[in-house]
Amino acid sequence: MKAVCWYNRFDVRVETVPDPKILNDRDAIVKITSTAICGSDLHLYHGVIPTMLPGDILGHEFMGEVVEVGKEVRNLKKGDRVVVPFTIACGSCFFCKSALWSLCDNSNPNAAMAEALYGYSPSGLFGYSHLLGGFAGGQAEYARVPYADVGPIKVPDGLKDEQVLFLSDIFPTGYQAAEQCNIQPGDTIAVWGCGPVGQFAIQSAYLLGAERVIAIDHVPDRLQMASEIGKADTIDYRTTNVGEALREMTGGRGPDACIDAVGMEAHGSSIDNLIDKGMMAAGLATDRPHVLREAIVTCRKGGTVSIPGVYGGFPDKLPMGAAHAKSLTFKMGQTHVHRYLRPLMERIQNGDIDPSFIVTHRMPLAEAADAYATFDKKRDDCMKVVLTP
Amino acid sequence: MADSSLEWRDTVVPVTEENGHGVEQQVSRTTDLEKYGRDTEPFGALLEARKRPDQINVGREERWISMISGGVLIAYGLTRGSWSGMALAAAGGTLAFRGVTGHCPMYAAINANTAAGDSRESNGVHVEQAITIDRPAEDLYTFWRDFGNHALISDYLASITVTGETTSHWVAKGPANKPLEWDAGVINDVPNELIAWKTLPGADIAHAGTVRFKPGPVGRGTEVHITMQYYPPAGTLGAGVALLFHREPSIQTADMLKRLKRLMETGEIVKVDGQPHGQSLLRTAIHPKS
Repeated sequence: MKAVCWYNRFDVRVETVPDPKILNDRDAIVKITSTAICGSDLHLYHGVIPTMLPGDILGHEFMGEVVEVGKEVRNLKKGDRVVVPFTIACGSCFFCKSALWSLCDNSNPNAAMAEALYGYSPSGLFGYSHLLGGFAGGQAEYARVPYADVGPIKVPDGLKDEQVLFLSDIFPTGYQAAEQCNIQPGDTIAVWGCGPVGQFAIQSAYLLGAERVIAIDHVPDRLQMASEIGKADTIDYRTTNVGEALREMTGGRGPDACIDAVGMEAHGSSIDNLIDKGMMAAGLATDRPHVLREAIVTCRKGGTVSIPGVYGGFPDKLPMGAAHAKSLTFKMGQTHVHRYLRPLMERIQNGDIDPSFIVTHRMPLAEAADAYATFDKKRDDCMKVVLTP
Repeated sequence: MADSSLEWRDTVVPVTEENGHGVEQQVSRTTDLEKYGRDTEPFGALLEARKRPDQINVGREERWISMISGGVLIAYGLTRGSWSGMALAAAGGTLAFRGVTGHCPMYAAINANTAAGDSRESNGVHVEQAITIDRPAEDLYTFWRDFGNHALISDYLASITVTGETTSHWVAKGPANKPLEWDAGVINDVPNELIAWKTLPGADIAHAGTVRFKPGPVGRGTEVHITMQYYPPAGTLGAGVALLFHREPSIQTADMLKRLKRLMETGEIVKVDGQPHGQSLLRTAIHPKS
């Protein structure tokens, strides 16, 4: 089959590889009909996530048709159309039973590696480094899905791929980011980063009852989407002082909650980010946490900082003094995707939201290398690429 | 060397035993090594530095850190596939060597020694690991006590043969494809609570161990605590070399406990070997199985 393989920084190739096989009794093989490139795939593309091996198959947002099931999979059959959550979860450990699916105890075969770095290992993920399992990803014609009796959700008739594909990651990720803000009537939510997760966080915040959402970015078309489709007020950080603007827009209170939908590779030319950039280039820093710093400082007293953006290592110079002085609450982590599949599928069926608004580019899988470059450089107003095998 | 190896094998004692009140307690791990000093150490000849302990100037924990971070740097450096990556890998090699030998030339130059006071140096390798498994103690005990099951949760055991009520014969895949064999005997067996064993004379890897099954707090399943005192084939060097091949005992033990947990909680041990991937010479070199 054809698959998108990682080889090095800025080097992904569509290669011919063997078809995946059932390796465990609870596996299924899915013939992929739609697969997307995620913003977090760009961290891999930039080479900032350790423990990738040349030849690793990328991709963790995918859906398709079940073509084979292991003998312990009884809830799925050949021909079922499913969306696959990007977090891999066993469904029977303490964490899965507590609905903390992305912390599954049993799904990372390389847990020891993650323990060395993080103390304890989160769940395995599709196509996201050997540290997080070394599972082959879904930017391919076929994918093997472990614990297929737990993860994949069947798609009701009448819904198009692009309406449900993003249940695999970014819609639940944006939704969880908003849910973590514990939104109360009258709340103003500030969202840094108007990429796909930011866009879903904006709309989810309104679904959860926010009074107002303020979106921060520098890419004009992304700010425009946040404003026109998301109904958010916007701040372009290149022309406006974010801290002053947020204070003024909230009547001097500060946002009730701040969502960092940017993560470890912040853009911009603030002093702290330039220092981080230099340190990161020299191999002395792992993350550029400019957004997190700004969110902590601008958040109102007693507010919440919700972090769907990915951090990888040891972000430097975080203003913990401000966080402590203002009694902030921090909520973060990989998305517990399984928790949101059913309720968000219902939201889509009810017409509360149509996630296909996010798609700007549709390309064949064979052009994945070009798709990565286009998305990375945000060429041609690229927001979200869907690849078709 | 042959004589002394017999002495220490015979004097390995189980690490826990019941006292009069039915409570386990740690007991002395005294061996002949402590009685007679380092000269009787059986594997000294294999490691020059071990004969002259004054050359070991890096403490135990620091050596592990050096070995692990060295290994990580090597692996990471190699995956970079660039000259700077190679430099990283080389630096990792230096660190790993420092960890394996316990000798740091820079410490020697500044007359520093972080190994002073390491009493465990001569006592082989002590392993303590714990994991919580969401199954009743009874199930875990039953699985463990049927020693043939251990082949399911280990990728380093070649075969296990139950030879009697309390005895079994174990064959492990050793370094360089040389099998390591031992006979083990159960020396304490409290159903659903505890199993203790030790190797019989003539073992390639002499060790003693105890596994305890203890109900966790409400809703948390069973805590499995394992304690082992273990003498690798070539002392601490053997453990260091083995580490590079993922064969180090505490890693092995942790890995085995994780497999036990996966099998008992999910009914299978999730695999990744055998998945497709793109071709790459570098990948084949550093990860031949994948």
